Amino acid sequence: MYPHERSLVNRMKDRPFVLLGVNSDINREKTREVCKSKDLTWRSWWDRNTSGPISRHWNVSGWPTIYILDHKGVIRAKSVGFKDFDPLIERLVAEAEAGARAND
Amino acid sequence: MWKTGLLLLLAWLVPPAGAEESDSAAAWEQLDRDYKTAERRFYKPWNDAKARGKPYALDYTKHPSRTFLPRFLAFVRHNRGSDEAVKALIHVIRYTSDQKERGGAVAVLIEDYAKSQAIRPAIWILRSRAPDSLDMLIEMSPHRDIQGLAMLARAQGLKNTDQARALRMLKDLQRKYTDVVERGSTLAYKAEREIFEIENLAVGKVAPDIEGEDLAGVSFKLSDYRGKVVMLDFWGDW
Repeated sequence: MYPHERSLVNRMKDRPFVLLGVNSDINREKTREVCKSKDLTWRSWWDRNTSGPISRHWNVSGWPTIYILDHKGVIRAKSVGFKDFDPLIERLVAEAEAGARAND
Repeated sequence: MWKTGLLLLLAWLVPPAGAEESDSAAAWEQLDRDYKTAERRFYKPWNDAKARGKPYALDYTKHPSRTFLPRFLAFVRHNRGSDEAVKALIHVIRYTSDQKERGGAVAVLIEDYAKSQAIRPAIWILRSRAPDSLDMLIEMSPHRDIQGLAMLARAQGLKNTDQARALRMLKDLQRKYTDVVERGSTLAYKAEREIFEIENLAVGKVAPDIEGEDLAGVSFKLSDYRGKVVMLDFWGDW
């Protein structure tokens, strides 16, 4: 999973895209070390454990769970378990860029 | 003399109490041990190659989860009605790619255990592999906790395809199952969270905001990123 996320983040650099995590590891310090050593640059909320407040609110019961939101904050796709969202992300990012150009 | 003979005959006809149970338990232990050994053997070349820094492509068609299917099926045939047979049936339902074999295992499971508490661990695999069978279980089980769990599982399976029906079942759970507890929370509470997901976290809805601390302890919000496409990844390094 990490190599795919890293390449996605690198590819989308300078475009209207962000990867945000909700991390359910119990040991926050250890996860910070992992992020450093594996070059995981994206930001994560720390949710304390698998039944943390954010995971509970979002009714998450399988990991990873992934949501794709467009630039207006609308949920456009979701999945429990890994799924290749790259084509959808590319389309939504192009949509966001077209919207930004129209507003110029 | 004839009395001794009769006693011997009776002893032979009537197995000592609990014998069948311990037999199936011992047979299961043996099968489980063999399975784990086969798994270790399956991954060994990969582990050895990894230790030498070399790649190794595993042939998953030879994974014991598949090659052991005949043994799990044989176990079910010889131990029908035992608690261990439920575990063997779960394995078959999960790993077989043969529709007929899966259908047969589901039919045995319902026939032998629909009225029993022993079916409980199988409910989660039925959710993904044989969701229709949950309707039968809801109908047939005399146990409230089994009925409730089967309803929750059925509704979870339906939430992306038939939301109206899922919502009806969940609202029923929310009203009537305030007393059944699964992993620390009541089915009514779980149903409430599912209803929240259908009503607020479905494709097409505006995502609720998130506010909290990052791994470094700095607070931030999801809405800080409005204007960007967001991939929200619930993850753990485990």
